[in-house]
Amino acid sequence: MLFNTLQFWVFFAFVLASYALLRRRGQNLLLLVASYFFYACWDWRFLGLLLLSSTTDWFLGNAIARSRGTPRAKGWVSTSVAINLVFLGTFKYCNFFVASASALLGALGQPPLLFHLDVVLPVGISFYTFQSISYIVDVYRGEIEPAQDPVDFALFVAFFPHMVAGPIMHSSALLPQMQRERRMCWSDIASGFNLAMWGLFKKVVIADNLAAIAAPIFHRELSFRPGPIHLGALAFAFQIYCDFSGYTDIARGVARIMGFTLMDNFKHPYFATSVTDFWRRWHISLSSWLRDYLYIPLGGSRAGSLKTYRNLFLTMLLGGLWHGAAWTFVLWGAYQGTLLAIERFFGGRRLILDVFGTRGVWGKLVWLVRVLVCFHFVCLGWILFRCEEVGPLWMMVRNFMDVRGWFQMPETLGRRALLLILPLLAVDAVDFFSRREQSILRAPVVLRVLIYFVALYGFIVFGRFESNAFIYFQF
Amino acid sequence: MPSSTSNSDRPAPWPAFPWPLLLTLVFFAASEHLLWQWQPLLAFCSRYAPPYRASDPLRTAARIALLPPIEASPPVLLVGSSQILEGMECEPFEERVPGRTCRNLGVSGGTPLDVLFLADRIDERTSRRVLVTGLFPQTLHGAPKAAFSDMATLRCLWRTGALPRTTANEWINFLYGQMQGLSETLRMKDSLWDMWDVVGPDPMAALRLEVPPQPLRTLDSKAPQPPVFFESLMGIVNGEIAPGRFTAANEMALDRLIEREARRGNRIVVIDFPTRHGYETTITPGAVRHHRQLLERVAARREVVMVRREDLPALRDSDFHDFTHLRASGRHKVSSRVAEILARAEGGS
Repeated sequence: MLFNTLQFWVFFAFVLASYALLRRRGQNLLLLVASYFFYACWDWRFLGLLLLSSTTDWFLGNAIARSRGTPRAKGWVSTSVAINLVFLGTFKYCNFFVASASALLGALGQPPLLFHLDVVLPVGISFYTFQSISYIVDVYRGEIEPAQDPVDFALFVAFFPHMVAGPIMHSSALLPQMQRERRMCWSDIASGFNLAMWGLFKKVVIADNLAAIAAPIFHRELSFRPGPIHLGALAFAFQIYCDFSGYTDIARGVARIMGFTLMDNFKHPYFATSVTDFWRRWHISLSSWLRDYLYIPLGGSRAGSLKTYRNLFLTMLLGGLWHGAAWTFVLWGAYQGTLLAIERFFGGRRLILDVFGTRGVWGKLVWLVRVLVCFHFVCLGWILFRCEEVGPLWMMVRNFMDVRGWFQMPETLGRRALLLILPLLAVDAVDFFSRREQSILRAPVVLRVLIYFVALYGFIVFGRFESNAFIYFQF
Repeated sequence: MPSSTSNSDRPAPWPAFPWPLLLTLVFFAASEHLLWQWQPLLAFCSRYAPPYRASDPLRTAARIALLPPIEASPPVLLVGSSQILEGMECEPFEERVPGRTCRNLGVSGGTPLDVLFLADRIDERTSRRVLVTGLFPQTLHGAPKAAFSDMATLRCLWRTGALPRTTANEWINFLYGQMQGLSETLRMKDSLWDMWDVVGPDPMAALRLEVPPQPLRTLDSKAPQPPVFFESLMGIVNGEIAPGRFTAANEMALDRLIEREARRGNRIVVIDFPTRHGYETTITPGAVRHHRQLLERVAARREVVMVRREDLPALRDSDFHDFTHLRASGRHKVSSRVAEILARAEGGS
């Protein structure tokens, strides 16, 4: 059941109507049943895995709390993390590692491995596994108390708005919301609805139409000249942004209507002035998770420059692999890690651009140049991310490095892409410069009516209602 | 690495009443109403909507909206499936029943439920008309289409017990159909994109009506099926063409249509539409039986002008494009004969 289908909204309407009539305990039970139903609509066979994972972590979380401060607690944490990683490794990475090992053996003239796990990837496993690990570690660190009620904990793991593609919530942010009385209020309903509709618009109007432009380029149906490659990168950059942030907005909006607060996952990432800044704005819940549960435990920046670079590189490499079991994701992670390490190296050193300062016309110009340069490097990363095979990558990357390609895009498709991207950039720019979220809610009534009116027709005429899955559902 | 995981700041609470949303909906409803009654737009759509399945809602809606609202000389409307669209033509009707406008409103896979929906739409333009439709086994069991469904469709499904037996996806499809009742643009969306393929290359020339109009039919430009096509399909039963969950609802739609036309004093002509020999070997015996029984039942109603196959001129295999669709020669023979029967009935009334 996808957020961009009528099925989901009918389902949500039923859930919401029942939810409004119940008190906390009943609401949690209802949401848990609804979440399992939502998950079962994908593939009911994996409900067992979700239940097993939740039950194990609930027991282990309580066991850790009881033995806090003793070596046994560390053992329980290791057990839980290992179990979660075994689930993730088996379903997500097993075939990848076997295929890679077979390829390596083949290259060495050895017979390939014949093992192959014939199983599909359970939807959302990367997200709920990371969320469960964060809970276990937080309990171990004493940052939160373990959930006493298994229903609260199971709901924390399986809460349907964010179960399949995040945001990956810290247990300290979400679990208490499961445990306290919630009240639906009009302002939450209104702003949640507004947010969800904006997310839906981004998905079905912008992302899915940009996908139709990007896909033929990455499927090599157009030539590999710089113009089409740049168009493909541009279209995919905004496709993945609208797809994922659209999903997040719907998830946050739906949760907000029910009185929950999910963290924001995006803060205008394409206005970032450096790759470090980009990662503060892109998939914030994942980068926070990687920082708190991987980068800092690895030593963070406390063990000297070289180890900091190593930690940055490793964190992003694993972050890349988290996205999918393919070498292109590993390459993407390595690329991001390298860029972060390079920026770290230059951090604190004066750059040529800095002589212009940050104020006045020159300052604004420098800011714009930084944004554009950063966007170029981010787009290069998206080429690595989007390419399904390593083979054609080099040719694409080489052509993308020819910056003249930005001005040689195929005319009709380029115009169509810009027509989709510019309204989004306009909305993002207003929010970015006003430092507010949903600035539209503060606009004069006439302007709001005009925007809603145009958006409604845009949604009807340009929306693609073909149930295209969200990109991040595959992770 | 991010420096913060703070939750986003919540916007300020809305005013007590969501005026912007309400005003938007009011303007939207008004604009939908005005837009889809604007004659130049409808004439443009009627001219350029291509004869494909996705264009059916736009083509039929535009042609209905452009009907002259002359109650004194009711139009002759050819309604039904693609057999009607491809196999009937208006010229013989306009010749033999002078002073009448004729329109072909056939739709791909058009079922009696679709025809009932179209009849409701025609009501908005003129309550006086002559409906000419065809009965055909393939279309008597089909599910309703989202773009051709309204409350009357749901009523037929409910009363025949079909609604509880529908799948979740079919429910969603019905719901989508009901939503299209709130927005004509939503109903026409796919048709508009189909039309854009026609006018998109040079929209200005299309606006000046310099782009040639779209043909009414698709099969005219195609070669007839070769003999091997018929030989390979003969005797191979398509199990999908059989009485099913929607058969009773389609029958009810046909009954309602006949009753309503009779109540208003409108004539309704039902044709047992001809098929190429061997067609009956490609559908289930249940569908053949049901079709015959329904024909008998309809023929027994006095308010219907029934045109049986034996009333039609003999058709040769070369008059058919495939098992079910007529070519130009067959179309002319059938249309002329039906027009003659109608003219006789009209003259006698």
